[in-house]
Amino acid sequence: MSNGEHKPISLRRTLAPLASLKLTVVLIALSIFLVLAGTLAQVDRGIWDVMHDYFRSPLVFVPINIFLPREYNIPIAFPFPGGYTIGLLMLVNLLAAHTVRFRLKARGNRLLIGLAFIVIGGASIAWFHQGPLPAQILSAAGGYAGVMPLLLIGSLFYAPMVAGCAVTFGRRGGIVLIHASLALLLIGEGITAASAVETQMPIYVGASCNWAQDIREVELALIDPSSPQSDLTIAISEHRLQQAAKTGEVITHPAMPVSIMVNRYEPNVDLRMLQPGETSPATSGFGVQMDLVARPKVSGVDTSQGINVPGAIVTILREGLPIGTYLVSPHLQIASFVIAEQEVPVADRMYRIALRFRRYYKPYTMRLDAFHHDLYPGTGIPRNFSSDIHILDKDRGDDHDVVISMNNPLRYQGETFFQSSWIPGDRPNDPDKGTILMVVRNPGWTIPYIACAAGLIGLCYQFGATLLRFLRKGAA
Amino acid sequence: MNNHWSKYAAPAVAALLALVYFVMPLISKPAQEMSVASFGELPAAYGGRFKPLDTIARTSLLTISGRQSVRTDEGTYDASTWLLELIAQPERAAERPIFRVDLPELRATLALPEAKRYSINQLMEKRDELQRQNQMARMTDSNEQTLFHRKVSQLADQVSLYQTLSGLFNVNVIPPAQPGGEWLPLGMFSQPPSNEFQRTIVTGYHTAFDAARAHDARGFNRVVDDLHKAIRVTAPSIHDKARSEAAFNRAGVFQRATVLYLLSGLALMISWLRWRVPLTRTAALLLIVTILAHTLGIVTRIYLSGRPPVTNLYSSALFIGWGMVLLGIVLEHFFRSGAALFTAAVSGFLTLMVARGLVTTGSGDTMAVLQAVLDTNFWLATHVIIITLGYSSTYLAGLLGAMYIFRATLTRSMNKDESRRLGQMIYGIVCFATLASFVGTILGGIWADQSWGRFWGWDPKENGALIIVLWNALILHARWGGMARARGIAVLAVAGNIVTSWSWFGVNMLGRGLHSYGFIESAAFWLVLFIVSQLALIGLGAMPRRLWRSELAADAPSAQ
Repeated sequence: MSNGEHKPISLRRTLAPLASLKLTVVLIALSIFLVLAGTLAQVDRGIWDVMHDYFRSPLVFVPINIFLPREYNIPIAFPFPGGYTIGLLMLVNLLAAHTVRFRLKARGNRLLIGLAFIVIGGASIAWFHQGPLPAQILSAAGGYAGVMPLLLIGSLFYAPMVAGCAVTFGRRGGIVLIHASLALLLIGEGITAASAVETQMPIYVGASCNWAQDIREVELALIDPSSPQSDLTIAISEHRLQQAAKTGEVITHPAMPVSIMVNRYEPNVDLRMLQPGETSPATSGFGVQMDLVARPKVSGVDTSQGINVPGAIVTILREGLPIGTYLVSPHLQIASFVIAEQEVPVADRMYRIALRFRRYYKPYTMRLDAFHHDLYPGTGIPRNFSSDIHILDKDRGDDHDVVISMNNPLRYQGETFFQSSWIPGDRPNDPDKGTILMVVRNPGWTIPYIACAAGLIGLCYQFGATLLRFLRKGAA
Repeated sequence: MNNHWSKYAAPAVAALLALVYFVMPLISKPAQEMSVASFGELPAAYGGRFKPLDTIARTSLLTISGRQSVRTDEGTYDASTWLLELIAQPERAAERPIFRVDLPELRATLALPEAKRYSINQLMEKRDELQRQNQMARMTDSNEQTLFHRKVSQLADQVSLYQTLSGLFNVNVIPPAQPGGEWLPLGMFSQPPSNEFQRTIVTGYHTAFDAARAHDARGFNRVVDDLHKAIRVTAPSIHDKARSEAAFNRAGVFQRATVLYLLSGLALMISWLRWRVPLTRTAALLLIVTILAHTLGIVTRIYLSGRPPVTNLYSSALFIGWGMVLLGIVLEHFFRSGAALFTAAVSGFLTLMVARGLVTTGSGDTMAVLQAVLDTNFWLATHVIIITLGYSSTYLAGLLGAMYIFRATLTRSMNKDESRRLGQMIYGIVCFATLASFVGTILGGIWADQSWGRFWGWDPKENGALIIVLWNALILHARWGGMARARGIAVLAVAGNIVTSWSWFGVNMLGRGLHSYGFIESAAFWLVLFIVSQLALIGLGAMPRRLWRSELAADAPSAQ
């Protein structure tokens, strides 16, 4: 901005329409409608489907039905800008407004000092959040109790940024901070949408686990147990299975000794035992007395918190000749969360197959030493759940205990482990058999914390200044 | 009327009367009567926490009959008396018509005569049919259940609640022999326990019931006193808390506050016609006494439950009202227009009425224990408080907006100054609402990140909060961009009422499974009614200026 006067002015003219407050109001109104539609849509559809269609897409077709009682059925949908479009336009509007309308308060040396503070502030905030300090403060204070100390200590690192904004933008410093925090939130949500993975790790008491599963996706696993050290697994993705079911294509792969034909694929099923006289589509394995019953996909506000459990009928072929037809589904379990693997004889080896939730293997193992399930006195209402975990990672030299409880997660190797649920005993009063941890990898997890701090400071700055002016006027 | 008398003494007398009104129920009754209140103060472990028998009686009676007292031909008597009768004279209690069966279909199925409420005896005659219907209802998938199914299960639950209460079977009133042990139900001891202390308590209870049966007031009072003393020795803090909770129940702070908020509002309405100064002062003093009682009520709930003030829908209504009244009083301090005072009184009255309607949600216990993930005082004290203040301020802005529209369109009480002033007030409150709802929502995100590993999940409750933030931001930007002035801001603020109610209640009604709460059906009705009324107000505010009654009508829009 220091190299002349005319350039910013022409830039201002070009950006003026994009910077208009009218556009801001329109965009906010559109976003309100989108959020409302995305909430109403969850009555009939799963939260993940809705999120994908409404908030994490450029364009959405909104069915009129979602606004009406379910008795009416009008098969019309209208196009509406999705979350990506509105979010992006908001960012553009915000940046344009700051370029066009917000004149710098400072000139000359003062401007340089202000900008220097902003740069230092940005660096110190980034350094603080990328460094180990936040995690250390949180764990030192024991989880959520550390949030206040974190904010207090964190605010020291924000001070240069606030000072910089105050010097550079004067009265407008607060607004700049608020808008910066909004921009960060939008960007953070974008990063989360693009890269966060949420998985689940069930561990039985006394057992160890080195994988986590994504319960929103399945894979057909073909396991070759012939190697004595570890099993070799070939996994076929859900998408591929659906495609194959539609087109009738036979799935082959150089590493697979067999090929697989998908006769039927359903995204959500129940299993049904056959009545006398009926025949199963399956000829081998556990499913010869069963059939699939297709169910509607679960909806987002369903209070039973159900998930979609797919099922498929697959025929395994060896050199074009069928070995057997199998019914596969994660419903087939030998114990809770232990999906049954069915044997497939191929030449002299015994392979196994299972339709299971997609697994992510870890370089470490977690052993569950004990699981605690505290109740309120004299009731069956749970008060707290916690898991005593032992982490073992030989390469990193980790061999120690941790406790994971509700509202008190473990952050480890870029992932966060939450106490999510538990594996109950077989009968009502039996002890629990294990824990279920939720494992989340989200590279953008610190961004909302930064945005929260910046927004809070900005709002106090802005409205505090307004209030002070008002009080001074009132007193005069 | 004497000037000093009307300006100072009348308001002071009114305030004094209000104080007396709040303290009155705490004064104990003479000793000749049977002190059922003292019986109701005895502690028990029930539903996950320690509470007095009075609370158990009230919540159970509320669940069974929809109110906290029993009305008979001889008069009305309170919940503790009902519980005592239920245990000591079950054959008499069995005649009391307390079970509410509203659904005509259900009455017909059970072949019940036409009446509003039925006694347990009447229902026990139809036990087999009720059981059969209940089994069928329970077999039905929760998504397929009809109103009939739900009402059948509800009635069956009410009957079994009555039965467990009548023998104090699952009401744990016997303290442990050793500290740290478990409290046990009286019904468990068909033989007197071997432990001496527990034996004292068990016999004490039985003696008290015998005395009640014999109408021996003095004997009853003595035994109940002894029970208090004995229990207090082993569990002093549990005992004292239970005693305070029973007194708190009796005090009925929030019912009384409702009445006084209403009176204060009425005084202000009359003051617009006559006696402006004395009545405004009276209203202001009444409001101050009432908000103090309201505050004390909330503080007592914090002490009793050991929780921050907002833990469920009922307590959120109490707190939203508290925030609105307080903000209104602060506004009045700065603007001195009487308008803010009036909105404070109205909001106190309305929110406490809503709270009254919400008592029946869940188990009827407004201090019930929380789900495990909510068991964190830190987040309840930060995120929940701040977001609830966001609700308070958004509603207050809406109420001020409603007042603006009313006065500008239907009365002659509005001029340019007043219009500007009200506009400023709404703007200031919207600023505060933006701050509170924004910070509260983000803190909620951080809580979610701490508990579920997800800052934002787009679930209905989060979306509701987000819409409030966005709506307030929209109002601010519309003002800054010159798109909305006083009238525009007032209309937008009224729409904010719809947005906030949607977030507060509407999102809870989306899930089909949640319909099993009986309240949802009637709450949905009130919500729709409220939204329609707000839309009507918006329509009124959007009327062309030439149709307005106030002097703002004459002006061109630009001059406003």
